[in-house]
Amino acid sequence: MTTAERNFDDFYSRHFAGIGVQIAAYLGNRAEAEDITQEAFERAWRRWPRLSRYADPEAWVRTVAYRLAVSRWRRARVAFAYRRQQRAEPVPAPDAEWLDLVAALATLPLRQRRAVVLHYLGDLSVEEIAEREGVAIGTVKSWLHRARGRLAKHLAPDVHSGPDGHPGPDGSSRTDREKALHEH
Amino acid sequence: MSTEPDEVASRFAEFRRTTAMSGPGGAAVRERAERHRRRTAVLATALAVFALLVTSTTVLAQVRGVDRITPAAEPSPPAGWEQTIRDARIDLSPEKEGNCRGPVLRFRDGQATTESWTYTIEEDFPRLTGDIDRDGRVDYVVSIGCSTPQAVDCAESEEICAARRAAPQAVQLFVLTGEPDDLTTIGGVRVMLSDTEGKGLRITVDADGLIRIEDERLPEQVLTWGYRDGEMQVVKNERFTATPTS
Repeated sequence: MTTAERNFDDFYSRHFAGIGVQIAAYLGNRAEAEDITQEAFERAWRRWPRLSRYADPEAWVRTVAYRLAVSRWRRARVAFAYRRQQRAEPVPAPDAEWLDLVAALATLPLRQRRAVVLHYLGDLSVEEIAEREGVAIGTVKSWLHRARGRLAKHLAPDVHSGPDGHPGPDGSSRTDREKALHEH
Repeated sequence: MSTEPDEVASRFAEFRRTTAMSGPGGAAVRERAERHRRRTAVLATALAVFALLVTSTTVLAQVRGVDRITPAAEPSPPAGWEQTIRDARIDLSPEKEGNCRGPVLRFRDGQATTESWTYTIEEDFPRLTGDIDRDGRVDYVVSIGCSTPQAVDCAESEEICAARRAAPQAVQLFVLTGEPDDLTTIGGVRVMLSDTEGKGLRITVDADGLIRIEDERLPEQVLTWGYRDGEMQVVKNERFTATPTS
């Protein structure tokens, strides 16, 4: 194994999970997020001689992964092409809290969703998000404030919850929230 | 008492803790990239040979004085696509804005009908191609109009039709991705016309996949649309002021 290959493998093992979990939250689909993150790292390897000299190659891979996630048509093509090549890995079924969070994220506009995922899962500061998105710091603060408010409302404890089908305090049942997730 | 940001933060922390993502590993990535590189090399050789043939044909055409309009963006659409889309399956459901939103439609000879609407692929407006969403594949820019079955027949009511003709008209262009017989919209471009037949309208797609809309009757305004963050947006709105000539 060459030095470049060793460095890349180390880079992959350090950053795959962190980027993958962001895309999983952004898309609401863990398997699809894994496909897209893998595609982003493949593109990084093709450019590794140059990319490895960047100050922050992880930011490059993360940007590519988000762009792939945004393209709906490309998402289906990546999943199909990737799964033809790889043995199917069992993906654990999402639990109720996982579903609640991704369903709540699906209700946010794309830019608010991306900002809140970058902040809480990507550990980016408000300033870093502003620079990445090409907007003012105040705009990012506004996105985060609104996103947190909506998420808190959707994630509030369901004091009337019972078996599936009983409505939560916002009038939506768990079935409705799962449906919102799949409609994304 | 926990605050709202704390509750959200703790949910994300739990999400991070419980979402296991490992992937098949760096070696698998490198192996797949190598397969992709070999496929690309074969394709590049084939394209180089094809480009040589096309170039020689184009040079001959220019010598003969043919005024040829070539697409500014690569790659090229398949031959006959303008006819193929008239009988295509087109999914309009991703477009949530504009006047002619719709479901998945099956067009026959340029028309598709639902219970409430008739959709028509407009022949009078430019049909263009380019890589709008920058994924390396050609996309199609097509005007699709819509009307209700109760639309007034101008033979029956010229007064209503005259009023409709005098009102500002909007053209709905759809950006479509996929194959010419099976397309999905990735967004719409709405164009207000300065004249009802759009005779002064000029719509082009440049090499960066940007859609530029000019109207010779409104030369002081040029709109440029692009695909950003999963939707079509106005990326540039240029307003020009007349320069004094005295």
